[in-house]
Amino acid sequence: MTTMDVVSHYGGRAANFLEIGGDAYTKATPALELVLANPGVRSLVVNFCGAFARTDVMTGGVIEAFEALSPKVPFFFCIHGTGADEARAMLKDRLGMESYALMDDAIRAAIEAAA
Amino acid sequence: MIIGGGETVLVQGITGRQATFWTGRMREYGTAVIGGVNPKKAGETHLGLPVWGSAVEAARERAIDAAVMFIPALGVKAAALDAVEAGIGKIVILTEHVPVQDVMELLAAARLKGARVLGPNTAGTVTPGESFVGFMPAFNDTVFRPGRVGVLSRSGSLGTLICLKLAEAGLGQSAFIGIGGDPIVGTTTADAVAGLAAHDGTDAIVMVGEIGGAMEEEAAGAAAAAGKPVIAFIAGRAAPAGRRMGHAGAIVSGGRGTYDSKRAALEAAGVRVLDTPSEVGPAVAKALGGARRKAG
Repeated sequence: MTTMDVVSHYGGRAANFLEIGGDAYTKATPALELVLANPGVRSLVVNFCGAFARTDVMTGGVIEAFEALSPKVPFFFCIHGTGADEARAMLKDRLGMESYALMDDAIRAAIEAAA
Repeated sequence: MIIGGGETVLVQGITGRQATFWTGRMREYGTAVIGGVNPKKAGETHLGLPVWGSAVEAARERAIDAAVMFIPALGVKAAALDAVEAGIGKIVILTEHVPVQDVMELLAAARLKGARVLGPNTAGTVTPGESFVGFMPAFNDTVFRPGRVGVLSRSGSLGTLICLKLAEAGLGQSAFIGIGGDPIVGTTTADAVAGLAAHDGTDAIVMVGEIGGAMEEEAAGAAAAAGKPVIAFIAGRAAPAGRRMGHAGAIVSGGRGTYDSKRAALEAAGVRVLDTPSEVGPAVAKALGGARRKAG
């Protein structure tokens, strides 16, 4: 919900809000499929701040989904919290992508890419 | 609702998978866990700790300051009533989806006995460097470190992000209080603000709210009377009305619980309301500098 607020704060518009909830780790592929089915999605922000949830496991799920669906829209990651170091390393190794240090920067880049 | 390092903690439902994992983390961190409850395993030990049949039985043998529940939603009322009957003064309910009727009954029982309830649907509480109760990443020192900023939050994840942003700015926390994401909770935003205002170890308060309900509006009075800087972030500014945004309590319905209403009430009380979570570090540093200059 906060990610959506920050998108709107920098003048972007969220194409959707999807809370996966619960056992989220296994649902990244169907979730991403749902999001990408929306033709209004022009860029995608993945913003994790892991507390109880482990960002390395979640990032693994997103990477699997990415590899399964090979999306055409650009992705922008910002990963913090539990397991973030492993998650960032995985992102770099498998997708060749970097995580933004600031959620604000990831979101601004995503808005620019969507314009 | 702050649980300090010396306070003893009973884990209700200690033998479950999540409870086993988090009891381990709590003990590593320094939380004084004295044992747990599982009626089916009374008399056994788990993680080297005693297991009692009920909180009442546990309280006959040990002094217990706080109980934390790793209990499924439909068992929460009975477990809470047990903890209340045991005379435990602080009861932390982590469980989501507890029926609202059950919450009202257990809160009424707690009030009669003078017990304070945190949650339901809270991630718990952290006293950095001393103890934590619940499932917060207290042990992650990029997020939590001892300091003098009190943080309260309706969301565990967003509260964690705020604490991370404070730590990045070199600011530690005196306490983190998870209010919980449900529409009815035992410790309200106003209670937590008042508690942190009265807490000697806290110099500034960060309130992390969200749309839905009226807890932020109701906390405006406590914020105005706090006598220390209060900074807030309210999630859900861009959320459409009538949609439940993740938490049961995060919904604008019938025009109530809107972002604008919360922001206006807090700003009228002298609270600085931030546009993005990234602003929290500089904002608190500036407020503390200002408060020090005033005091000096």
